[in-house]
Amino acid sequence: MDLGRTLLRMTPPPRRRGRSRRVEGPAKRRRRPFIRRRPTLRPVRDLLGRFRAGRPSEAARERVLLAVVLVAVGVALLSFETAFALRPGTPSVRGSAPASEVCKGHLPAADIDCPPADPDQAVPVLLALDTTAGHREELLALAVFALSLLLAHAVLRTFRPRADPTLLPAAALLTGIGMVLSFRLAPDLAVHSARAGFAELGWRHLAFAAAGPPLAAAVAALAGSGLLRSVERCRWLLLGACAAVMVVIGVAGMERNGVRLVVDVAGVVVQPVEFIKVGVVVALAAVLARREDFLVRRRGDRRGWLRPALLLPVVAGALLVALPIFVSLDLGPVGIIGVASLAMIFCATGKVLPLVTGFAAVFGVGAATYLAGWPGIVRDRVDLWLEPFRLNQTMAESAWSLAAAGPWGTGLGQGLAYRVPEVQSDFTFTAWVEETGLVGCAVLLGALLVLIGGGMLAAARSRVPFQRLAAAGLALLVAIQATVIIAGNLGLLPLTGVTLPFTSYGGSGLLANYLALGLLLGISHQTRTTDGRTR
Amino acid sequence: MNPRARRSIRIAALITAMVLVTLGLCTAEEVFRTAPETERKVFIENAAILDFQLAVDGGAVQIDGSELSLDDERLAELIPSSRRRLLVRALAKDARVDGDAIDLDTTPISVRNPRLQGAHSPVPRGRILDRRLRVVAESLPVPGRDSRGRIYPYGAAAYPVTGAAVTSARKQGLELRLDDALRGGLADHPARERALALHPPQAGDDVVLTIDAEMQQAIYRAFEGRRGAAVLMDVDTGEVLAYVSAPSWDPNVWDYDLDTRRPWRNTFDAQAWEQAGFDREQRPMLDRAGGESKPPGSTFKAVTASAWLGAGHLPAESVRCLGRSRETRLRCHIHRLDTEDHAMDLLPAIAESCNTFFGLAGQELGPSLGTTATGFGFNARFDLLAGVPDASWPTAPSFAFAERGEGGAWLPHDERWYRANRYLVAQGAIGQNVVEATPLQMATVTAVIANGGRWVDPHLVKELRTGRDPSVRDDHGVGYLHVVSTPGARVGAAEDAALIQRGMVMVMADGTGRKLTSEETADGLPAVRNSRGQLVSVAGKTGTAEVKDHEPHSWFIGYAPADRPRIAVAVLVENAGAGAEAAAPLGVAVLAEGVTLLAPGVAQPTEIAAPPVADGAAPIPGHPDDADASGGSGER
Repeated sequence: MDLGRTLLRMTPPPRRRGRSRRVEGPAKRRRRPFIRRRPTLRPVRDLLGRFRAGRPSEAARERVLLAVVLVAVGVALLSFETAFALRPGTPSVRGSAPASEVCKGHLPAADIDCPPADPDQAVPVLLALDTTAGHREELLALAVFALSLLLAHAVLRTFRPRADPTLLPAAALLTGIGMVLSFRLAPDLAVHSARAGFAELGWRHLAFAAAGPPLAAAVAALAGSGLLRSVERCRWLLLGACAAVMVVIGVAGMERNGVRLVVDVAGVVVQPVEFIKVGVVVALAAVLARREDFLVRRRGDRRGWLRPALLLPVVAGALLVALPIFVSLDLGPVGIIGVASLAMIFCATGKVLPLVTGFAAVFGVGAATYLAGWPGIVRDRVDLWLEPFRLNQTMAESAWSLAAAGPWGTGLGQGLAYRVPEVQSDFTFTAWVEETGLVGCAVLLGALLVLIGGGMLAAARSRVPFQRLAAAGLALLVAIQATVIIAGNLGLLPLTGVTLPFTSYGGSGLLANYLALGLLLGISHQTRTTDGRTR
Repeated sequence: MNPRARRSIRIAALITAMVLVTLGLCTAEEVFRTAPETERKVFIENAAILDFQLAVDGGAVQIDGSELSLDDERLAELIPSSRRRLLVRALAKDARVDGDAIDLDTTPISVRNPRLQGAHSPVPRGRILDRRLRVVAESLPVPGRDSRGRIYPYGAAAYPVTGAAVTSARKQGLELRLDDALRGGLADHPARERALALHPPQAGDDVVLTIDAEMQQAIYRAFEGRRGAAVLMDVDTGEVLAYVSAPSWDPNVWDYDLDTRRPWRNTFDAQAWEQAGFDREQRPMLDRAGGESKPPGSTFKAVTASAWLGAGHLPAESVRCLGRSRETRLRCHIHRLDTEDHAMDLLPAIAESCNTFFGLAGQELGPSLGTTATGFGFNARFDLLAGVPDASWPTAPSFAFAERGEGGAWLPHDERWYRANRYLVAQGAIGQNVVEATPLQMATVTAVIANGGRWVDPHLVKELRTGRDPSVRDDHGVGYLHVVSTPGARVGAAEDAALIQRGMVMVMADGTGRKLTSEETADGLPAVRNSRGQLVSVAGKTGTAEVKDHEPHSWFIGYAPADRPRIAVAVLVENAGAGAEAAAPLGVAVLAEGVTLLAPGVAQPTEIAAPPVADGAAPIPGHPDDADASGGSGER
């Protein structure tokens, strides 16, 4: 809070008149001659451009936005603590209980052997929420998050001063939402699922949420045109490495929930597929950029059309990575990489045909695996989607959770979303909407839109083919992943266990997202001239 | 520079934005459209049963004794559809193996929305009322909030019956077992979609208990911090009039502040909770009346006597009781009484609690003793909600001459066991070592003997009523389910029961309980005067169950009035010495005050004071009622 106020005070007084007068601007501009019949982003861009191209320096604008985000996150963090105190019979306090009682399954505790060797042994348990501790924990968490954002901001503005100032705040808002949810769900999850490990969920989330923004700033600082050019040169090496890692995971990974996607690196559980998604998109961007000019017919070339021969390397590259993922039995990442590469091919060529055939192929593969019954998870997920109320309660819980929301939500700390299985990673959206309602949904989708829009704008402005395609690919990757999981939560698509970008709990996912954000920031810096205007 | 690239990126961005906006609209639709449903039932259709048959024929189901296991890989080969496999797995989970056949549980599986239950719900949860319609549990609206808090006016005294339905803990006890009725809402409404919008929420149904809450509280207070349990029953119907376990736990601390009647206050005392959890001695959350069995000591001799008479023995058959008997290895103190030839027949044996007599009787009876005990309800669980369809509340089983078989069933010992373990049989015949009973079980035994040998089902619920109309005060709804229970199958002959009744009267007249009664009725029956000045004749049997390294458990079973039995009681006071010391005074007081319970319209006492015991209040140490199963045969 203090930090937010300081940041606000540091901000130079914006020239409100000049900016507010421009609000009426777009109506006049609509009559300008460059408006064409085909759809453009110009109205949206102009709306954002008002802010982007305004006088206050980009660093100052980022500071204001970050302060707003921090205030919002802080208010949310402190609000549910108050709600907890108002809840009925919220007993609190970590305590201890006899091992024999814990083994009956009614009390949350770390894993112990059941039946216990010594029934009277005291086992630490979480009886419920601690309403007496006040807001200390939340304020500390907020301070750590604010420091992390400040560090990221300083590094970014020192090395990449012209990067888009809306990207980092949008990502920070999404991460803040995720962190608030983790802190809010932790005690309820611990009590409900009888696992005391959940009590620390908020802090574990904070550790990665705080590491993310500085990581993005560091990546942005390093990702100058030189580094990007060498990445472009090593595209096949990158693709091969991704495929090799996937093979290793498929063979040696740990199995969890029926899929093999995680590996144990020196005691830390890593989900490499999150990083591989970013790596594949960057590598495919390089592959496509090298061939971009040949992929479409040139002006005046009447015979030339989309040449499959030239697309083959791209398809081969995508398959190179997608097939090993098949071994790990989870088709979520396969689908996301597949759709992302289709979208990138569309961005590179502007052709609809490969898009249609590609989507048909993705659907065909999905239908084939469903009918074949292998991998089994596809059939399970699709069945669950077709009949949400049968036997497995997951989708029913999600639907009830959403239905309880209403326009304003139940209020943070007062929902029952913690009853949805895997809520902290797969049903973040459901939990957020139940407690904050449509308003919260709008905030979340708005932040996603700003983030993705910023990435696409950077892509549209970039003059370097590789950077353009990489930016578009990374933004689309975020968009596709968000769409898949939100639609899954709503029951529009079968649920695949992917995270909501920048929001869900999950260290690898968060860091991979911030890696992508760093690349976007680096690319966006290079699209602007030194005087702060867009080209 | 490719001129199309920039345009296609713009199109992609637009499509993305449109998708996200669509998702927002879909969320809005989801948020506004679906009414939160309370329940969906998943029906197991015939196809699933055929699938299960397929799995059995295909060898995917392995039967190992009474355990049933599924071979997942084989099942996947047989049934490609995972949805059908899920159903087969669900069936296999609840299936029971019965010899060569497999019993499938095809009741619907419920999936429930928790948001319309408990304190989160604006729907009033049904009340729990006692037999005189006093409120034992109710949900009161919370000022300024669209929800309700649960209050238990009888607090800890009624906790063993009511359990708790509060936000911060799982539902327990009756609140859990009858949740379907109490919860209310729209569980059975045919059109559940948007039902909340179209129909006003329906209050939960009221449950009328057979318990008399004032009596329950008076008995609970009479325990005064001692550990134990008491069950009071109507001998003709099996209605449980009081079901006390002490010490107990006050469910109000979870949800509602009883003193200020202010809900939502955090009155939970975590330290007290933790202490209660660790308290292995007091165990306040344990239901001692029906949730735990203890050796019943000499009170079990009523069952042995019933078996003795049932096997055709005459009451006049006597044994020589010389203190120690080589055949039974039991100690007995009756020989101090200077009878002529130390002969002991049935009635004096009951009155003086002669171990030698019942030990020898048990050894002679053999397996038929176990059979009679099973007839009295041993080796099985009682259902406290007997008579209420679709609900059950199984108690802990009492066991006699049986061992725990697979799947939690108790398997009676066969004849070989009786021959091989003669001393154990003798100990079991006097209620030690191989016999354990809950107070509920002993109350049932007493009721059966008191009503002339007919079986009664002990039960807690008298009536279910529709939820009350919130607009009408003192509206008690309409009873839609009346649990009617009459004495059932015959457990023993009426003449045998009458003989044992005579023995139990002799206990109070001049046996082990002679110091408990101070007066006599006109018929010469032992009697006590209750707080209203009525003379109540009582009969009973004391019991002292020896426990290794601890004071013995004090037991008493009895009924009143002695000439025309109406109510039966079983009292257990843990580690409190001889039966006549602790349990019997309390039991006699309960009987004296309880006889008016069944008379309509009589106000009940709020306090039970143990009647003054005649001079020499403490029985002589080493009293005949000393059931010593020698040789370190402690509590099993």
